[in-house]
Amino acid sequence: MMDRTIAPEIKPIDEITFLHPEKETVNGMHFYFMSGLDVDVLKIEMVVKGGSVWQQRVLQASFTNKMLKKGTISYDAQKLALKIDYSGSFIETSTDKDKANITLYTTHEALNEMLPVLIEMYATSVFPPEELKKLQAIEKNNYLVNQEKVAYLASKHFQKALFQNHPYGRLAEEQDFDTITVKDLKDFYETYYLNENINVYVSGMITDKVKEKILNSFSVLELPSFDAYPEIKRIDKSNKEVLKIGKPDALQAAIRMGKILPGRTHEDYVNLQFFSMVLGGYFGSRLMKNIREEKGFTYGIYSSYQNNLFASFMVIGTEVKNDVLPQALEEIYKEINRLTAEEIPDEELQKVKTYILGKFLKSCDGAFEQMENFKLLNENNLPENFFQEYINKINRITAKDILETAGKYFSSKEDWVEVTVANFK
Amino acid sequence: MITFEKFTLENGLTVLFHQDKSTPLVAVNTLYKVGARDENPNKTGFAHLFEHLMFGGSKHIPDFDTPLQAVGGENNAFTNNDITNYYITLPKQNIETALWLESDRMLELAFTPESLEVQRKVVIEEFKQNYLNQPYGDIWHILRQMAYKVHPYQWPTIGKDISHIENATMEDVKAFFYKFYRPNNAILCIAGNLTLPQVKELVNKWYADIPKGEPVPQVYPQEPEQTEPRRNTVERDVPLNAFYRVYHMEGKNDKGYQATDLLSDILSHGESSRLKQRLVYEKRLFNELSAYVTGSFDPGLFVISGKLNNGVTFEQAEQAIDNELNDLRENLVSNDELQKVKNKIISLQKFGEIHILNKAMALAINESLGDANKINTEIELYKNVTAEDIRKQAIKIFKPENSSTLIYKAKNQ
Repeated sequence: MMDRTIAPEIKPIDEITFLHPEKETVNGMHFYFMSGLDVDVLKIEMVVKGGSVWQQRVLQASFTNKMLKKGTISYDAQKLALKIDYSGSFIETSTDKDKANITLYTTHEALNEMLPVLIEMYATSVFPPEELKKLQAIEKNNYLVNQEKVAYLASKHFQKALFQNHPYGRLAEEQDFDTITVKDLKDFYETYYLNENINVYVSGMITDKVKEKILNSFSVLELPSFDAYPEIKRIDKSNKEVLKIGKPDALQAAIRMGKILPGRTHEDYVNLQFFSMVLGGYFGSRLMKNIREEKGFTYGIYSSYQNNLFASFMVIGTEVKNDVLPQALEEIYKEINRLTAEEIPDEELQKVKTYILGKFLKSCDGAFEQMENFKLLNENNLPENFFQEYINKINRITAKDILETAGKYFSSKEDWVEVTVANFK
Repeated sequence: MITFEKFTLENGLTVLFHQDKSTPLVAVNTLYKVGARDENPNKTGFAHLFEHLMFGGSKHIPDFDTPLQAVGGENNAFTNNDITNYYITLPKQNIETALWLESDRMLELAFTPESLEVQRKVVIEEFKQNYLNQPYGDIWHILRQMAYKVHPYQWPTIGKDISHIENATMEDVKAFFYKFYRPNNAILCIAGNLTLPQVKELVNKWYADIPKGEPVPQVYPQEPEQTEPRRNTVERDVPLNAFYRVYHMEGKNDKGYQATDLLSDILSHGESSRLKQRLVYEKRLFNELSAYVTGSFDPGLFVISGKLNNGVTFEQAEQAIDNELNDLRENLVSNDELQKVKNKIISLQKFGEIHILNKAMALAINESLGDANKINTEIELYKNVTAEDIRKQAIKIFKPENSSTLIYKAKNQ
C-alpha cells in the first residue's frame, strides 16, 4: 500500500523561456511577429497611445475608441458589423488609462478580407453624429446600472481619492455622457490615433505569406510623426483619506484601500510584488485564508499591485457581509501589520516563489501569451531581460527582504486611502 | 481535430488523455456527473456548496491548495445544473502532485465541521454578492421557477433560498459524497506532453484502489409540455425596466439543438445580428438586448433578455420582439445570414483548440454527454443546418404557450 500522507517529490520548474518576436518597421509603424501555434488563427493587436490619460475631457478616449466600429469612409456601422461577423472574425476595441487597442481575431482564410477592414477602422473612422447619440444613451444607461453596484462605487471613489487632480483621477459622472461631442472625438482621434506611433502585435500561426500580407496591407498608411504629448507628471505619493459612502439597502459592503507605490523599474518593485502576492495575490494568500477561509466574511478578497505609465499603486478589494465591515477592516490591517512585524515563515516563502514561477510558466504557454509579455515590456519601455531579471530576483528573495520592504512602505498610514461603501445604519 | 485516448479503470473511472507536445504544462480535469439537477428540492444549492467543501481537506491531506501552489500549480472549479468540474494546470514534471491531491479527495473527504461552517458562510456571501446585492441579480430565481414546474432545473446552482444553505448538515455532506463522488461517476481527463503508457501507469497508481460506488442513475422528472403562456411582473429598485422571455427548447444531445443554437445566434450573436441592429440601434427600444440558449443537458431554455430605454413601454418592447420572432417563423433566413452564424461557430471552434485546459475540459464535458468525440463531430451538425431547419425550430419553439415572460419594472419609473 502506498502512503498517501506523503506528498510526491516537488520537482523544480525548468528554466522559463521568454521568446522575442521578429520586428519590422513600415512607414514608421512598428510590427512584431510571434509565431508558434498549430491552429491557423491569428491575433492582430494595434496599440495606440490614446488612453484616458491624454484626454482633454472625460470619456474622450473611451468614446473615440468605441466609435471606431461605428462607421468608416466605406462602411456604415451596420455594414462594418456584417463584414466582420460574416468572416467569422472578431474585432475588439478597448482603452485603459494609457493606451487604446484595436484587436482582430481571425483565421488565415479570412485574413485577406479582414486586413483592409481593420486598417479602415483605424485610419478612416468618420464618427457619424447619429451613432454617437446612440452610444451616449447606451453608455449612460450602463453607467446608471453600475452606480447601483457597491463594488463599482468603491472602486471609482478609491481611484478619485488616490489620483486626486491627476488625469488618472478624472472619472465620468452622469452629465458627462450628455455633453461629449463629435468634435471632441475627432480632435482626439486626429491627434492621438492618426500618427505613426502605433505598434502592431501579431501572434498565432505566422507564415512568411501571412507576414508579407500584413506588412503590405499596412504599407498604404503614411502617417505623420507626432511627439507633442502633453507633459504628465508621475504620481509619487497618495494623501491619507478615509471615505465612507452610504448605500441604503446594500446587503454587502465594498472595501477598496491602498496607496501609491513606486513603479516597475524601482529597486523595491520585486519585493513589493512579492508582498502583495503573500498578502492577497492568490487563493492561499493571508487575506483569503483569514477573511474567507477562516471567518467566512466574504466570497473573495484580493490585493493587487498595478502599474501604469504615470502611477503604480496597490489596492485591496473585497465585498463583505454588511454587519462585519468593522471586523473585516480590522483584520485586513492586522494582516498588513503582521507582515511589517514578522518574517514570513520559510515554507510560505518557498510556496509563493514556486507559485509565482508556475504562473510565469503559464503566462508563457503559447504565442498569444508570449506576445502579451513582450507587449508589456514594449509599451512600458522596459528592457528585454526584465522578466528574466524578475525571476532571478524572485529566486533570491528572503524573508528579511520582505520584512524590510513591508516596514518601509506599510508601517505608516499617512498616505493610505480607505474607501468603504455600505449600508451605514 | 482533437485526438484522444480513452480507458476505464476497474472501479469505473473513465480516463481520457489528449497529447499536446507543445506545452510545458499539463491540465488535469476531473468531472463529477452531479449538478444542481441532482439535488433534493428542499436542499438546493448543495452541489455547489459541496464544491467548496472539496477544498477543505481530504482523508490524508489537510489542505488541498497549499501543496498545489507549492509545485507551481493553479486550480479552480465550477458547478452548473448538470455537472461539477474541477481543474488544475501545473508544470508537467509535477503532475503527480495533482493526481495525489485529486485522487485523495475522491477517496474520502476529511468532513471537518469547521470546513462546513466556514464554507456555508462563504457561499452565503457569494449568494449575496452575485444574486441579491446586484441589480437584476434575482432574475434566474424567478425565470427558472416560471419555466420549470417539475424538472429540477427550477432552481439555480446557487440554490433556491439561503435557508437551504444554512440548514445543510454533515450527514447531508457525507451522503452526497458517497453517492455522487465515486470513481464510477467521474471522468478524469489529462492533457499535455505525456504518453499513454505514462498516463496509464500514473492513473492506476493513484486511482485504482478507490472503491467503486453504487451506479448513479441519471433519471430526472421530465418537464411536461407547457400548454399556456406564463407571465409575471415584479418591481425592483433598478435604474432601467427589463424584459425577459424564456421558451423551452432541446437538451444538448437532442436533435435540433444545433439549429436552435444558430437561431439564437441569428437573433443576437455579433453586432450585425437582428436584435442588435433592428431593436437596439435602429428603433432604439432597448439599451441592450440578447438571445441565447442555456445549453443544458436536459431540455433547456431559449432566453431573450433586454433592458428598455427610458420612454419605451413594455408593450412596445414586447411587440417588437414578437415581430422579430414571427419573422423567423414565417420567412426563411438567407443563405448568407445562415453562413455568417456558421462561420462564427467554425472559427470559435479553432480558437478553442489552442489551450490544453480548454481541450481537457471540453473532452470531459462531451464524454459526460455520452461521447468525448462530439468535440470533433458536433461541428458537422452545425454545418448541416439548413434555412428550413431554422424556420422549423422557430415554429416549434416560439409559441405563446411555450413561453414565460417576466416584466421587471424599475421602481422609480
